[in-house]
Amino acid sequence: MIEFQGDLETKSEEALGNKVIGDLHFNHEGNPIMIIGHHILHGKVQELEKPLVVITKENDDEPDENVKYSVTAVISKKLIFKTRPKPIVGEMIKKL
Amino acid sequence: MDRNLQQVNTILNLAKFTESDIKKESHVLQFIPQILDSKQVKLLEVSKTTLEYIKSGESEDAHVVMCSNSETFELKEAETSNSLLVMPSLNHGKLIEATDSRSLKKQEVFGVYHTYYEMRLTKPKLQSLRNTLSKFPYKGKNSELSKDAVGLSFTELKNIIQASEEEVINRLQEMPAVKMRGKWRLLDVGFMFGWVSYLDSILREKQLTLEEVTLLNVEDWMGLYDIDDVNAKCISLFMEVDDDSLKWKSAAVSQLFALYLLPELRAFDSKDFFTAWQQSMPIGVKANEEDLNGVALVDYDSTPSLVKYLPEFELPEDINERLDILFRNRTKWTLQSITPYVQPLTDNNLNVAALLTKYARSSTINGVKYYSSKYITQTE
Repeated sequence: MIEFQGDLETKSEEALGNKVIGDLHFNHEGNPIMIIGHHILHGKVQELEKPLVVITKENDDEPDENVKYSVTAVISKKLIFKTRPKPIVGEMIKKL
Repeated sequence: MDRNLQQVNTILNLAKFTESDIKKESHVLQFIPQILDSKQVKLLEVSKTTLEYIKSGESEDAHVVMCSNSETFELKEAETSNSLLVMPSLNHGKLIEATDSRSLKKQEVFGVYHTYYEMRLTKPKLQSLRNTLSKFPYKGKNSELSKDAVGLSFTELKNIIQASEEEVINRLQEMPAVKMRGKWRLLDVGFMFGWVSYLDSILREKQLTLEEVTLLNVEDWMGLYDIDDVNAKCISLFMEVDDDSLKWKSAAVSQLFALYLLPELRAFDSKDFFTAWQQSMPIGVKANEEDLNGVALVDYDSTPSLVKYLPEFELPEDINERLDILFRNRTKWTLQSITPYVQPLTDNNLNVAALLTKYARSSTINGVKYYSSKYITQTE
């Protein structure tokens, strides 16, 4: 999981599906660097003290039935970007 | 539209990094075509123990309460202004092997989330267990009209009651509930009264006390009265069995008799009540006003003083609603008298005194502490 401040927005309120969010690199210390648009974010890999369980609704089509969720994944680590993003200065980035 | 390595490197350089600053493998984060929104997918924060439990097998989730095998949790939605991107695990840091060539990997992202659920251990609301079962009273083998099983199976109960399996089992054991032909029923107060009275009449006839007979004797005599499972339940409810010596559970018997004698919705002259109560009781059980706590109220303010039927198990489970009824019936309560009515609502974080401090008003009159309603002002 990746956690960062703020929210993702598209310039033209398009649906997020299939969209490229950005690039993710790791430096030699193993810390992640994320570049989204013209923002650079420096982060850390963190073990979650309390893991997150991803539960998915199963029987969406049967409204009368008891709603059933199944556990589909367990998240135990996150890349956390706590600091505010830094802008890329210099040339305009035209093509992302 | 896929990004290539060149594009990524260009951006990297613009960001004043060189390729030697970073590990060889980079990732492009990209949403999957159909993002999973927060209606379909929920994030649940769990403790490591709960995780172990989840990994071990089945888990259930019902609206706001989640149960493991032995505990019940309340789910609380937590919102964060941060964005949480959920994705399959990716190679990071040390896991990226040192290779010669740069590579680019596509990393799918399932969705963005801003809420997750926290779990809090909670005391389950088990009151409904009694209410549910009370629709299937058992009034003795001779009152059974049909040969078919009546009542609710454990699976049915589990679907109704929002509590863990272990908690439901424990409560069923404490309650006057029995399983007959696979279905749970509630023993009727009149039936239990009859059961105790019948045993008492045998003892009186033989001029014996309960202490002088054995468990085997009791099982033998009561075998004529009802089926073994019911008898065993009544024995566990009303008798202390220590090896082979028997003793009435005085408080349990007294409460049962009070419940039977006090007509619902009607007040009883307390003097008459105490006489009738004591006289009806089995040999060796003494009527004690304290045993009425949680069953009935003695109102000394009226003339003559009255006893009112008010069993704890008939009160609502909501704290405010319950206190409202209690304070309507009596404006001032001592800690001792209100405890049986409030105790079942307490949990690990909130004991009786703390709960009353939070939801009621306390005052001290002649050195005695009383609790009264926060909302109703009283005239002294």
